[in-house]
Amino acid sequence: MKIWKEGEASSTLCPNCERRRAVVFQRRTVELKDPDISIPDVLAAVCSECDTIALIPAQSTPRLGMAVKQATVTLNARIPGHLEDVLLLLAKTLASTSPPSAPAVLRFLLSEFVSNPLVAKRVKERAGDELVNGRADHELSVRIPALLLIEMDEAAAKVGIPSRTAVVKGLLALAKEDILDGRDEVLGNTMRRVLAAVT
Amino acid sequence: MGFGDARAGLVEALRDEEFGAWGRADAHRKNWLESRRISAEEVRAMLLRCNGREHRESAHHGDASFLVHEFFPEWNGERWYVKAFFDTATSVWVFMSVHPSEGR
Repeated sequence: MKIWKEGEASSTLCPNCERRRAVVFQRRTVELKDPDISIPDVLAAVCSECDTIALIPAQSTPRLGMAVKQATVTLNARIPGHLEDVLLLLAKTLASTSPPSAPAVLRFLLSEFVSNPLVAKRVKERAGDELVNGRADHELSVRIPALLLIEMDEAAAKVGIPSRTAVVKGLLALAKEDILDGRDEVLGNTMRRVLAAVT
Repeated sequence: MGFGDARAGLVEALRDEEFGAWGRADAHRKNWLESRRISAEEVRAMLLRCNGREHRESAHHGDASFLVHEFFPEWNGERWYVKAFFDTATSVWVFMSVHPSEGR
């Protein structure tokens, strides 16, 4: 395996110039966008013409991958007050000795959404529910892993849910039905077990 | 370089961890290998399942001296998209995209 060192020079196809350009390997901060993740100290081949990162060698990808896995971002959604009530009720209902926080409940629900296509499909079907309607005047703001946000966007696109807010609203409506109304004991029990382990 | 040579080169590069990834700001969405959302071994396995009908090649639109290879393998019940070119100066295969397909 070739290991590149800082200061080595070569040339490659620059994604910005779209031409072969001279490059020099340098340690740079890689800036990923949407969600924004800043990864310092990455060895990369930098275009001598436009200063863009042209190439990331394989040796730098574990550093990049680790940073992506560890990054957290804020998920914002404006929802009706009664759906925020559902979230708080879920946290209270699932409490054993120490109640899980509302953000932990939402993170669990999002994990189910991204890992279970059936849940994603059912969330999509909730779009027409009476429960998801109402004045969206409550700002929900939750820190979640950046990768979970990306996977949430990917799962939503797959089933045709148009926005992150629609995912959150649909998920809360589904959780109300399955957990608060007791229609899916397995989900409720799984959630209790997972939240007991993480909170 | 046709399908067979391109695939063999990529498979070897992945086995030896001797590849590059194109600098792109959306690597966490569009280059799962660069952001290590998928392992080199998994990409290698999906390319080995690929046949010639799931491949096409064309000159890069900006610099025709680069031949860009696109693969459309099926992996775990899903169609994937892998795009790469061989860079003669650095002597590495450079992955431009590795992600589940959004079309085709």
